[in-house]
Amino acid sequence: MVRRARRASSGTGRLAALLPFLRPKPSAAPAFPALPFTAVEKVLTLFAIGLAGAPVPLKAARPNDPSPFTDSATIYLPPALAEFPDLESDFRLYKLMVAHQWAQISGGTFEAPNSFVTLADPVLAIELYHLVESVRIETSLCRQFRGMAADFALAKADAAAKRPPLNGLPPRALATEGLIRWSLAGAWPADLPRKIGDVLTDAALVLEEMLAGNATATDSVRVATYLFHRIERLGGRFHPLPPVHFRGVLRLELAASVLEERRRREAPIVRPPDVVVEYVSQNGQVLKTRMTDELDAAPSKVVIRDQPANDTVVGQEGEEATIWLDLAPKRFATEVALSEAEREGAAVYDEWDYQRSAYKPRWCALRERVVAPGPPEYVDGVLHKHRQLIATIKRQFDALRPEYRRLPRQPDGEEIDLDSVVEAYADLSAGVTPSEALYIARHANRRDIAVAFLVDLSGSAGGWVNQQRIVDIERESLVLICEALQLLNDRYAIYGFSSSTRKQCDFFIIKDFHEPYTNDVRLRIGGMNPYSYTRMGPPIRHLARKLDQLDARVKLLILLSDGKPNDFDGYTGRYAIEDTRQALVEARLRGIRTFCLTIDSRAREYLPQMFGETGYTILDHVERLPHRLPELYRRLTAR
Amino acid sequence: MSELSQARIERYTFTEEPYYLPVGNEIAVFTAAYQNRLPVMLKGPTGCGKTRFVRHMAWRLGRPLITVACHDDLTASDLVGRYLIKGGETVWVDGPLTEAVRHGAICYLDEIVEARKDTTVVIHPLTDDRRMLSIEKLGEVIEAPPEFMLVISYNPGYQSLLKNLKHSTRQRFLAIEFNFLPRELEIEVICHETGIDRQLAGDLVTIAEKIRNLRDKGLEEPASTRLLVYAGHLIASGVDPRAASDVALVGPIADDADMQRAIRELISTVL
Repeated sequence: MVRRARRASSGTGRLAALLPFLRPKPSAAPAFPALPFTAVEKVLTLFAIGLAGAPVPLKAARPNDPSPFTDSATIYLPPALAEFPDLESDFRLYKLMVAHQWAQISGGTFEAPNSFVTLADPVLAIELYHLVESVRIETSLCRQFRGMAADFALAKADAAAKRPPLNGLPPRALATEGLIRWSLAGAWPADLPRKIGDVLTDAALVLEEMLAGNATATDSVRVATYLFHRIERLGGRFHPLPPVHFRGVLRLELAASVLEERRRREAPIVRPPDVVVEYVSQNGQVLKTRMTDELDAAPSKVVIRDQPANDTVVGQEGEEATIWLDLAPKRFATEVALSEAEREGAAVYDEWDYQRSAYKPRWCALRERVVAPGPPEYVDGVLHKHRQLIATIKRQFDALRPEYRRLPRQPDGEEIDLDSVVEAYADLSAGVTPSEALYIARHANRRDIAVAFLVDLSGSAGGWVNQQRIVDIERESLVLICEALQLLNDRYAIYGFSSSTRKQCDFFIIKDFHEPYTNDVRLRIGGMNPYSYTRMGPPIRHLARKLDQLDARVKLLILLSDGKPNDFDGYTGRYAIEDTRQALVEARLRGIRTFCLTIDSRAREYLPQMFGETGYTILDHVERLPHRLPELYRRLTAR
Repeated sequence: MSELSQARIERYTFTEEPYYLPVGNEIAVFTAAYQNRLPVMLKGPTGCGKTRFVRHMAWRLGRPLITVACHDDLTASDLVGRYLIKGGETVWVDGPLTEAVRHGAICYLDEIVEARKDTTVVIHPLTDDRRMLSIEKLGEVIEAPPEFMLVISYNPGYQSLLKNLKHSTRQRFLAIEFNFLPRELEIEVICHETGIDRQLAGDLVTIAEKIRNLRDKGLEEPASTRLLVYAGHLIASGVDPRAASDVALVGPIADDADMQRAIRELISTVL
């Protein structure tokens, strides 16, 4: 084991020796080159997805918060690591931090019921729980993943060498520090007072017994509570000890609020009970509930309930009651066809009502609008910011450029096709009329593609991700795709959409098919802004109509979306999804291929239904959109 | 040209049972399709056992198997046959499809989407109740015997939107869906194919599970059972498991440097 005297020799280290409960300040200049989190963020993110089976967001913690922790949803990691002389070991430490925090989230650390806050010294109790959980988690990880054991050994040896000195520690802290050292090095520090040594031997037995089985976080709570009561008796004040680097800190209070928020969000929505119609016989027996056409016996009374205590008797004994209830959603009961004024200057589209399996005819009014130009310096800024990426994309798109292709078996061409000549000769000798297609022609590989990008400009595009507005990221991506598409002869158009009720669906023209990528288009891209809601059916239908008028071998509609279809006049939930789905089906029937690129991580719940299993991609990191859009386009249109 | 395409055709009459571990009712379904003379389409990701399944079924049903790997230069004559000149004489040579029809074999068109669309049309009359193949140059129409069966494979996952099976073609087939095997079965397949022990096979499957979590996160086609078997073979020949996993499970599935690194990290976590 190589001892590192780095901390002890620095000024902060001496201070830490005097007051061991003080955390070493991260501002001490690192002795080794630092590995910044941003350099390994992508690899670590993919690693975490692989491990967890679902995206676990990773974020850099603030510089003054240098230990990893999690709020049970996001894992926060140090913004840079310089624990080891080589960057590779630092990377392995990052990996362990991710694994350790993930194991806490998935292993129930934050869900085990505990009552540490009610104890006399909650800080000590939580420290002990963190220690016990760490030991449990590391054992379980090493059992599951043999390869992790080596990384843990390295990290433990390093952490053990960096523990603060024992002298001067009050008894509670001394015992806890003893346990931490035992958990790292597998041995007790020498020269512990006997009283403490006894407690630790006890503790080790309990821990080992717990680990022998398949311990859960609840076991850890039990063991931590036991240890707490033993160590509490030793007296002295307890101050938090410096954290073990790869274990980080346990922030139960932070996780509790996130869990609470999640529980609230995921709680089933309590709805008033449905209206129930009961047909009751003379002796009070319920013959049928709900609406029905056939009854075995005439009801003595008919009761409508909508609340348990609120019955309305509408029929009397022996009487045959006829009830008409309008169970159709209220929003349609009051809605009427578009008025003339509402249709003025608009394209009118039907809307699909899945409950009736029918269209609501001429239901939505859509108006084309040209986006007002944005600031002239906008596009130049984007071009400057992404100049390297643009160069890469252009190189990739260059490979897509139409090239010549040798087509054998043509009736005319530049070269003779020997295979077909031989075949023709054979046919001739056999008395069969030979084919006249004996040439190889060189043909330009025509792409003949028309693609329309349809951008969701609902209010949510005004949301922020990592200090960038979603709409800004969308705009940047569009600039990049335009730059790339300049290289190809593909016809393309860019439209945006937003709505506020069926009466006002807006279809923003940013670049039409026939328009070249001029300065006006650039200004319009810069002028795109988030508006209100997301009625997806009308713009898809409108665009399908536009594409239908074009003559191209391949017609492609790419939707950039940030969430479910949604509008405030009842266009929500399944209704909205089914209408959008129907609009897409209509488009596909016109021979238009559809694809969706979304940033909504929960899109898997509804997008497969709308776009099919392979017709969409979910983007984990919105800020990757400028990279992903050209890549995706290339993939979709490559032969 | 024809030599080249001939080289891509495999003919088999099985004397030994090709190893196959059933997952669901696919054997019963395939058998019933065979008895009812219905063509079958096998759908699923690459390397998950579609080809092995057909070989197994050919053995089970006691029919020879003719496999054609489709590619975009495959012409109708490549499938049906052509006249060749031999020693001044012309000889008609049956293509693999004609041969399969004549011998009552199972004809397996692997990766049918790769074939040109005008080529796929020649199989249409064989797939409906007519079950016949017309050979224009011979002026012959042959009727398929009851033993003849047409099977195609189709991988919807990695195809670009521009490359899809025409509806008029796909709606002539029953579809049996394949997917990655459940963990225990996959371990068993790897042990059986490579002879490595269960623990190592289990580790390989764990790695594959972790890699499969990255599907649609930048990975289009994650690690297949076939690649796990490759890794297993290398390990059985004495290659270090990590090195074996590296050559079998990193390069073949990812080009992106970050993705490769992430997969390597998953491997070194498990092994």
